[in-house]
Amino acid sequence: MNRLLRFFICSLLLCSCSTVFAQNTYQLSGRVIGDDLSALSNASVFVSQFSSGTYTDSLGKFKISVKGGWNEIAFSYIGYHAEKLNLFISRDTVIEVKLKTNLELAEVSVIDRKQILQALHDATGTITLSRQNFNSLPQFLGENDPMRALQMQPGVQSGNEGARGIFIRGGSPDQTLMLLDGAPVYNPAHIYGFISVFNGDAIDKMSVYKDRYPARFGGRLCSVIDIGVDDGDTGKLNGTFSLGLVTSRINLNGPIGKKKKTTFAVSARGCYVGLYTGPISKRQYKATGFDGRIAYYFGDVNAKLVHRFNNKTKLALNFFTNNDYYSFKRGFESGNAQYTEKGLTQHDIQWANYVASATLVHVFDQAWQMKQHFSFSRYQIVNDDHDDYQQTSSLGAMYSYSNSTTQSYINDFTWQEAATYQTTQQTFMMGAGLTTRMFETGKGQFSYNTSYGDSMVNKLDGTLIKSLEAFVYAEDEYHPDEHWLINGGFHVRVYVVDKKAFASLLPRVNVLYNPAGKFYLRASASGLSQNIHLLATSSSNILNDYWVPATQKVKPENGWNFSAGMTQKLPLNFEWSIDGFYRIMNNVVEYKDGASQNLYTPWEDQVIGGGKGRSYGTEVYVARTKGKITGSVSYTLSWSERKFASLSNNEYFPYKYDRRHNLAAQLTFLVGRHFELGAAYVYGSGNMFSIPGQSYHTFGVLSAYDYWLSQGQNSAYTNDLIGIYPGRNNARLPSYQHLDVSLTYRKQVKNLQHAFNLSIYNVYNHYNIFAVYSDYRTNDDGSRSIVYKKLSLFPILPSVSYTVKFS
Amino acid sequence: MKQHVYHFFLLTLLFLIAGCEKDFDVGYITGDTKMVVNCQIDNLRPIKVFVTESVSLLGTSTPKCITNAQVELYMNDSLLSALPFIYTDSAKTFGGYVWPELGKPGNTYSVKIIHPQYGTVTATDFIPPMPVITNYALVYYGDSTDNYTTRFNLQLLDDGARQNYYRMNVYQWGKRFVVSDEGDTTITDYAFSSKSEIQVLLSDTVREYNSNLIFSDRSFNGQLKQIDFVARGADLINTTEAYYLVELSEVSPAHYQYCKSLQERNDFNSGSGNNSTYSNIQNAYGIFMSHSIYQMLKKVK
Repeated sequence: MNRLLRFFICSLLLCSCSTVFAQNTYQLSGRVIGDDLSALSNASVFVSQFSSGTYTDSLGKFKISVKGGWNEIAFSYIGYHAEKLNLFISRDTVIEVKLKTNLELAEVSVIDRKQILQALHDATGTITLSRQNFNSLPQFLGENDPMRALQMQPGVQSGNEGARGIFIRGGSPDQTLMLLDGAPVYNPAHIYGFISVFNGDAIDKMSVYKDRYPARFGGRLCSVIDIGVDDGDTGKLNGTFSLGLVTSRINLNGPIGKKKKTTFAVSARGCYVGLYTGPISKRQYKATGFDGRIAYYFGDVNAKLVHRFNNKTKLALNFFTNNDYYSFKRGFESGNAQYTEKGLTQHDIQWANYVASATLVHVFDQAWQMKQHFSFSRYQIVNDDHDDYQQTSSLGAMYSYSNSTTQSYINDFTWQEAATYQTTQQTFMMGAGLTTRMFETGKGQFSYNTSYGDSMVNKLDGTLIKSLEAFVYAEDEYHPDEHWLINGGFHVRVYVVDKKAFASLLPRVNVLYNPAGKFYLRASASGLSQNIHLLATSSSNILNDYWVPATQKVKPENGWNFSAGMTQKLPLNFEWSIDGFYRIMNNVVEYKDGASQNLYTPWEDQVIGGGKGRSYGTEVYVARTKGKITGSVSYTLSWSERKFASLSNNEYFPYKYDRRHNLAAQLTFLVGRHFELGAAYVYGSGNMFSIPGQSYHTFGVLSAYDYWLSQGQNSAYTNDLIGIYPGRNNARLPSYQHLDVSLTYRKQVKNLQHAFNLSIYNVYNHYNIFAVYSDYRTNDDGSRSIVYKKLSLFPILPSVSYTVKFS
Repeated sequence: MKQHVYHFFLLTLLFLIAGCEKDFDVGYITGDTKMVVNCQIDNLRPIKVFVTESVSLLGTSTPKCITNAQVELYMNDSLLSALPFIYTDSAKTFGGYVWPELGKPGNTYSVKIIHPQYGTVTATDFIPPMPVITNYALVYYGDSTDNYTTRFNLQLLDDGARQNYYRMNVYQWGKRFVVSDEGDTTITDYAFSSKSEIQVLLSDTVREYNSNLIFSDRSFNGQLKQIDFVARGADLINTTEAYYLVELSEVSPAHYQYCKSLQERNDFNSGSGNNSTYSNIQNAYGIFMSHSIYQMLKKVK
């Protein structure tokens, strides 16, 4: 009985045994939770004798019709021991089932696996990825990145090489709320966005809400990625160590104390590509007469501590940080006996996230549950510039030293209270919270001194803006019968900035209908708002993204999301789905034409607010979710457009990341007991960019042309032309695509599990675009044409890694 | 073995950072021609407004004048005159709309252009007051051992009431001996623009035409600022007469933004970006900018 921890209404089962009742149909409902009290979504609930079943929803709840009398009910969930219960049903019954972690299945490297599981797509459209999904994909530079696994799902795409963030259904990266154990993460990418800040070893699961937007979430215009950090093993100490060419990782987790009421999980990761780039770039600089180097390092740490006071109360403390460091240094020295000069230029950039959260969950009884959550999240970027110059000559020594430091950051403090009340037919959730944010851009110090005695220390005040958001929500999930699931609610947000308040009432509704078998129809409508903006200067500039608040001048964004679709579970673990979506966005932001895009110019003067946006399209998804061979294919056909009064003649123009076609396919094949073959293919239409149609001369060219004509000459250079763009984003770049393959060998020797992985990224060496340059080409007939050049960073790229895990 | 390990890491790194470059084609879009207005007003030259048509990126790049526009010039919202179009060359291939008077610092100038095809186009800019120079000195004229480096310093009193932008131009001219191939010696005029190299830190610097230095007062707002700078001059051995002309101008914010956006266009090659070049012309393209010039002349030989 130790596996089944609780029946809330067991007395009803024991007292009812009439054969009359056995012929009737009753509702069996309830909740499936893990031994850490967390809800298990998509857990299987199966009635053996009638071969019928269902899955739990995102709150771990289920509802199924059973015949009166004895029923054998099987509960299963990945990473947990399956449970079979013999229940005597004589009336509508509610139960709560707690599954215990399966120590052999709960961890990353699973030895002797009989089957592989794909990402879970539940009937409502919520996608849940577990750690196994990350590890089944081919690696990139030795990393199994959760964000890359996410990009295999329909409607989810990366921008291109070098684009940060995730683009979901035509939204910009800032329109996706990214939560790590409930705390927002403002910068999800390490350098160039090739690797996300989320360490796959530390992540338990990742849920994506893009069809529906439950009322308990708010603050973003597009979608939610809810990432859960692993609590740590309750059984015994586990560990993983992975060594790669440019990164290494370590993970330790397990119980603390004999009672094992407390668990911990710590993961750390380091990137040391700077060890290579430092000496090699130094050699390259030396060949050109300079002394210099380029270095880049990053590290990230996840730490979580969970204490279970009893079987009703749990406290989770989570901390995450990543620190990235990029350094460019170049010096020179020259001269002779009479004259020498030397100089040094150094540019250092550091950026970091600091995320901490505390969550207290208390289950009062079978119906009531309360959650208190407090989080702090900070994203900061610091730029340091040093310029030193020294010169000696017959005039004596001369020097100048300068130093400038600028810093931008966003601080986010959030407090939230949430309550859940569950009955047989419905689950009611409500909550309230406060978020206060501080935004500061361009703060720093600028100083110099010279041998002339000229010196200055100038403080840059930067721009500091504080904002406050208060929100309340109510959400009800109602099961009128076995065919219908209705989730409705509202989210109210009040945003205060510069003594001005903006309020939004955001209704949410999601309807799921099961006409027969495992076929489902779904539809949802969500009102959305967003009170912050991310200003991203350029895809080729790695470090200048900064967050700014909505203000009276650049107002909060708001919009609506509509989605409808159908899904069906088929025999042999196949499933398919098709969805259509339409999103309306108001007050979206774009840079103005000619924006200077620096921190010294007030950002409000550089952007245009008040724009409109829309995105629409359809997604098709086919998958085999379980077995020795699994795979999925997803295809998205979509449009994403923007409209501004001062751009493109006030007509809709394509959004930069308008990707007409997006195809993602993956296949995983378990060969024997030890080998796993994986392949992943991604294809997407190219991003949009702007090309000129006409051009005009600079003032300098015209002035010089005029001067030379006045002198009776006509030889002035007139090719310095400024492009006139007929509309923004009027051309499409070549497609983005790559095929990756991997082979993983796993073997267990005593209590050590070894895994060797060989991955090849971009097998057919496609040149994906990292940056674009334009140039003129003179053709054979003397005419000119414009040629665009694409710079790619990663051709075919093999990587190897070794991972060892003990348990 | 050590060599092999080194090559392995080198190869890996090259994969990472070397990258690959390839051409690709995009559908070229030919837009309609647009009106372009270019004008720079200062206190030393008559005002000339160039009104031209845009040109195709793929065709000839010779400027095409619009001669049938009605161009009106205003100062402080008062009409100065409708400007006549005057050809620059005798072949009548190019010209502009001319106002013979000089620009007056501290005033706002506007232009209104009416054209049957392009409609009405307007632009406005304020000529900043003359910059206040409290001291100026040529410190040293170098010879070949110092790369003919000439050192200057000047003191600029900044107006703290507003954001100011300045431009520094350095020219040298004079007369020098030239020996022809036949051995004949003549004295000819020479002149060139010299790139100023600052020896103090200035903020928001931009190089106009990759030469003239433009900077802001952000690091010395409202203060008396000493600016030390050098310029490379000519060898004085063969000169009979040599002068340095240093111009310090206060440029309008529009002037600064235009030059800055042009520099960024050249630095970052924003062919994949948007309309990144600053323009203050309403309903057309180009720039209407101004500056007030303070000239300082020093004879060095």
